Amino acid sequence: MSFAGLSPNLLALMHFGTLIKQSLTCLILITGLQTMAQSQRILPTDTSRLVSYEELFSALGQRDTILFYYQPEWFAGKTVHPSIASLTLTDALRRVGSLSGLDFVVIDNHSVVFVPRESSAENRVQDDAGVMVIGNLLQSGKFPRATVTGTITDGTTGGPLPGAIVSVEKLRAHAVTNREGKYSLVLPAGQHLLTVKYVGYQDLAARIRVVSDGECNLDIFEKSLQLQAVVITDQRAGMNISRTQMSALRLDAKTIRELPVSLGETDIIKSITLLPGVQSVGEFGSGFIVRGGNTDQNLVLVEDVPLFNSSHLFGLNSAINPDLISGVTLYKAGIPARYGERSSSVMAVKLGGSNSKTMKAHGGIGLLNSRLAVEVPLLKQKVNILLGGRTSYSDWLLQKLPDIDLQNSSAGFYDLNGVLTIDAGKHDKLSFSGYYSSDRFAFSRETNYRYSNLLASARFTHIFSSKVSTSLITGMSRYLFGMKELDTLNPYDGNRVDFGIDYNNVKWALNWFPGNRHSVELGINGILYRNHPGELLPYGGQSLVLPRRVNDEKGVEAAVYLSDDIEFSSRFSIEAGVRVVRFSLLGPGYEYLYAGGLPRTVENIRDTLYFGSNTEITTHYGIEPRLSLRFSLDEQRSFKLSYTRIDQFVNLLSNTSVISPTDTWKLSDTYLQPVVSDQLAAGYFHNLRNNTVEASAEVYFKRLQNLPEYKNGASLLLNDHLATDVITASGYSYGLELFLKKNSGDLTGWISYTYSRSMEKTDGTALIEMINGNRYFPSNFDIPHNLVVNLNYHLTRRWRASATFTCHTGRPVTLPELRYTFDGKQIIWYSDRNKYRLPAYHRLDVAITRDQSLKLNRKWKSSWTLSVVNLYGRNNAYSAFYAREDPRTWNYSGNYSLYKLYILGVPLPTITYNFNF
Amino acid sequence: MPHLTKYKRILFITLLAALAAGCREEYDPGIDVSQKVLVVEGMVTGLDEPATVTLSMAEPYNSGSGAAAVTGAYVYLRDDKGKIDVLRADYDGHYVSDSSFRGVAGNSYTLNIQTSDGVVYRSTQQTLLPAAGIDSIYGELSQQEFIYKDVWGNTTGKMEKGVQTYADFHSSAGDSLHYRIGTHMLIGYSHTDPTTKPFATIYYFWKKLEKDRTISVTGDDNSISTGVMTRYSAHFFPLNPFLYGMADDQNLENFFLQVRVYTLNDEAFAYYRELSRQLSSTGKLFDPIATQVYGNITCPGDDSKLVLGFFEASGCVKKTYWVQPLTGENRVAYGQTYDLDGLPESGKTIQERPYFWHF
Repeated sequence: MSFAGLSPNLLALMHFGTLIKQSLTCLILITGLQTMAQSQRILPTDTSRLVSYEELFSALGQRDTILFYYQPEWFAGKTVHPSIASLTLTDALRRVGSLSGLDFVVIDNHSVVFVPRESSAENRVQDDAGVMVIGNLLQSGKFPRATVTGTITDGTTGGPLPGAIVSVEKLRAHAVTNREGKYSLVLPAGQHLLTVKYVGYQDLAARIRVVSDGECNLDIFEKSLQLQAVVITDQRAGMNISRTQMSALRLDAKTIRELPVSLGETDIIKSITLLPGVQSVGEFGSGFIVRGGNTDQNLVLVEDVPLFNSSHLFGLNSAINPDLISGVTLYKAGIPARYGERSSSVMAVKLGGSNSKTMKAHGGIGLLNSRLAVEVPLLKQKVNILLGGRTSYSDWLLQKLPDIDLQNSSAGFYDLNGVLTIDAGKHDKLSFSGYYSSDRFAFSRETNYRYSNLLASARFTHIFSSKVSTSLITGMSRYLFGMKELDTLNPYDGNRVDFGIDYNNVKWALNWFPGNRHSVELGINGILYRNHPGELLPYGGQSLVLPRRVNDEKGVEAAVYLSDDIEFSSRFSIEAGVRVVRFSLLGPGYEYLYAGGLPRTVENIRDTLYFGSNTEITTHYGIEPRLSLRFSLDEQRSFKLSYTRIDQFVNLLSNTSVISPTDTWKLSDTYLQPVVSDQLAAGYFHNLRNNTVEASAEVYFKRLQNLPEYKNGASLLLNDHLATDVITASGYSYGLELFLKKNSGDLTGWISYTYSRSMEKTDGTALIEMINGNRYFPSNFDIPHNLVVNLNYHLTRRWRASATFTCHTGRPVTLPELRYTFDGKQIIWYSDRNKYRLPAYHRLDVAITRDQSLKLNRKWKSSWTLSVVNLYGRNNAYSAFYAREDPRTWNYSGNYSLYKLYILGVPLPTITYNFNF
Repeated sequence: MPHLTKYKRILFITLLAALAAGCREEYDPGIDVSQKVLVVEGMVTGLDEPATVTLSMAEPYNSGSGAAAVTGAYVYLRDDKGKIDVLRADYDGHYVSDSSFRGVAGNSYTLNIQTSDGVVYRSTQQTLLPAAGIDSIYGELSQQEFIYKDVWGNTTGKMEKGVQTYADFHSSAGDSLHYRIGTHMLIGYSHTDPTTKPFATIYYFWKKLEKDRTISVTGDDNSISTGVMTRYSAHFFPLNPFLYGMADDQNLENFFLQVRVYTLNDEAFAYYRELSRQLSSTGKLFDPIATQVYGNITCPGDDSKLVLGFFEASGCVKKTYWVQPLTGENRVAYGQTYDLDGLPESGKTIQERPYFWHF
């Protein structure tokens, strides 16, 4: 029911608020009513049509048995999006209040009275023709140009929309909203048609008259309440064509929520590996491969600080809680100058909530783990707190398996995240983030492993003007690993090993926007590395192990960069930059000098130099040009070209067949030179059917220098002389990536095909420093063919089905070729490194999801997803190994066989219950 | 949410059934290797025993046949003093030196081979280091987990009581030497026949146990090895007679343990360490990647020719101890006994204990 028309007498009383609400009720009933209208109409199902406030109040009143009191002229002729009726009453009222500039009072839970706001924050002024005026009318004609700034928000939730395109088409003036939904456009004074586009939302067109600098905040609404299909997009509609950046994959929070589910929850890294040029290291491997690069060549940044181990439980889960991610961008090529450190890719993860005006919570319950995230706005949204956590309970599963080692094993993890944002005024923003994760696992009773990640960062952003802003970021990341071994048979060998790495950084950036099509960024980065290669300690009361410690490493990386992104015309744009970097390995520490002309072995050490604290042991410099070019044939087609050079000063040393948590980090030194990557990439991008279908083809060639490789039998842990076991190799990779994606309709999805090669070679002079006789051989990440087909189909408004098929060439492996007897035992002679390949990998995953209820008044909303991983149960080889029986086996036959290890040999169903309130 | 319980129960069972299918299976990548590769196993010690060399051919890994012996080769040793000792063919592929040959600590030896096809092979020069000294071998009652495998290949663990034996030894030439420890084990058991007159007949049996399943080297950076090695874990003898295939009316009496400690030079240590790693690899997820283990034999006429195996010149010391579990007293008795070299694989005596059984 709706009641409109309220006496002025009552309006005055309304300001006393709820303290007098009882008496107000009587007053309203006695003196206030001038008109009363009743309606039984239901809001139109066509959600693209706006409705009057009267219709909205009618629907809300009918739903919640509420009476509305207001002056009819406040809402006369105004319309509103019908989706507001889907909100809870409180949220709907807040939204109406925000849109209308009115306050409201709820009386006795069934009466709502709207009153004028004392000082409206809204600054929308309309002229006589209904055109929105930007700036001060008194300054008309004073300025030929003016800067229009504003925020684009979701009209339903009020949350900002990053990545929305705000444009004046006639002037070819475009701006993209940042993570806070803010944009800035310089426009000539006068009248313009401002449009806002955002995928999944209705386009908005607003007539504005620009007088002087001013704000224009706009709301846009989803096209439908129906959940959108899974869409992974590298840019918003059309941006993949018009943006200079290439080889970048972007996912916002909404898209992330709808990504394919893996073992109970959305997994950001696994989802990214379904895209061209990105591959998984294995069935559930830790990390990912980008264009043939090693996993440690990917910089995973969480709020601008790196995550050194991005996986839980051997890679079963990503270490990043998907519920807290507000956006992810992966750069494969054309990496902006503000990024460096790793030579293959940058994956920037932003944490954040929906910026809701009320407290929100969401989470999920799965078979192996559960999660919860809570968002709390405070002080009228000036302060926002986001907290989240996950924990596993997987031990019970291992104990049920018919293998003694697995029964004696355990595994588990938990992680905690927090983000605090403070809106410190119109031009300043402060944010803090924290992250902690802990993993534990044991392969038997005797050996226990633990590792943890701790990240923290603080960011201060200041906007000097619409053209200049700056940000200062400082952060830290700590990765610690611990291993305890206590053999009950031989407690005298009980030992523990600890190692880790500390990372501290400071980043300062200055952004200057000289024009709509021109932006410049200048920045300085400073990084302090403290690497702790390891310490051996006795463990257990009877241990006779002698403590031993490998000296810590300290390194400083300093970089300055400049980047200029300019659009010369609608057809041609360029983003050019340069990053100059300097790395110093600092003392205290030793440098071993080896005899010239001889292989580096401990026996060939000729001298040892000692360097005092903070003395430079060795220094490396790098100049990293960055260049991206775009040439558009028209609005639907463009060519792009990019070149990127990056120096990498920290490497993960690993000589295990799969990425292991025991792998240690190593800073560049005199012998292990920085990895240098040069990548040239080109692409053709073509959008069809009004940007609903995207097609692209990219080619790349990458040259890599100083890749760490390992001598036969290298010992990497607790090695004082790593240079004697680590050798360097050079390599190259190249490939072709084809991508076809459909973004809208009941059936969405993509097909991705990648052809890529990754080769490397050593150049040692002694046999022990050669691999495969210094001939080129496939790297561990050489996977020539990779096909992904991902399809999603909306069966009804609440039911959707999806299927993902992946197929790729097997990874290179080293296999046994000969066997012989020595000392009475069977010994194996292995082939040249990576001479063979595992069998081809292919897998089909399917899922069906029942999305949350569309009932308007339900606060607790939940969804179910039933998925089956590896539907046809293929035993995809994860690795191959040649193994004997465990020597502890009594009926030991001495048999040895070649095995392939597979993680999932049968269809694995999982079910997830997700909720939010 | 009571309705969840039902779902979870169904999924729990489904999940277990799925994962119980195992996670590894035998794999035949169809490797076809036609390469003929000579394998050399040569040994010179300072003990009172001849130098031995065994020559064989490596087989394709998936071949069902055994290693083919290499006969008709001309094999000799040259030391750094220029002395040459020619080895004679003993039996198929085995060559031994004259019985008067003794390795001398401090001397260096080179193995030379000319096979019947005229190809010459040569080892690097190996220096024989002084032998260590074994201080003691002893045992303690203990227990250890054993793994049993059923016909389906499923494994279960069970704790077995037994005797854990240890060895203490020391370097004769300073600290940080590398050792390889070899053990030979033998069990002694008896059977009493009470039906014989006028006295019951007692049979004493012995049986050698299989050799070590792995290669044990010490002196790795992560070990506790110094010039003195204490409580080196030599062997665990379970007390369960079933594990030795004994009949119900047979009594387990004693264990015998021969320990050989080889003092390795750096090259030999590196080789055996790699073999040890390969042999102890059981396919764990984080095992190091497989690597080629090169020996110290080359073909001077063709540097690219692959030769496998190793020629070793190592100081060696050996001692043999008997070990007797006294479970009633909760202790283990032990003492040194005769050398077991040359003893048949198994045997028995009647009424009288074997000579090495007297203590």
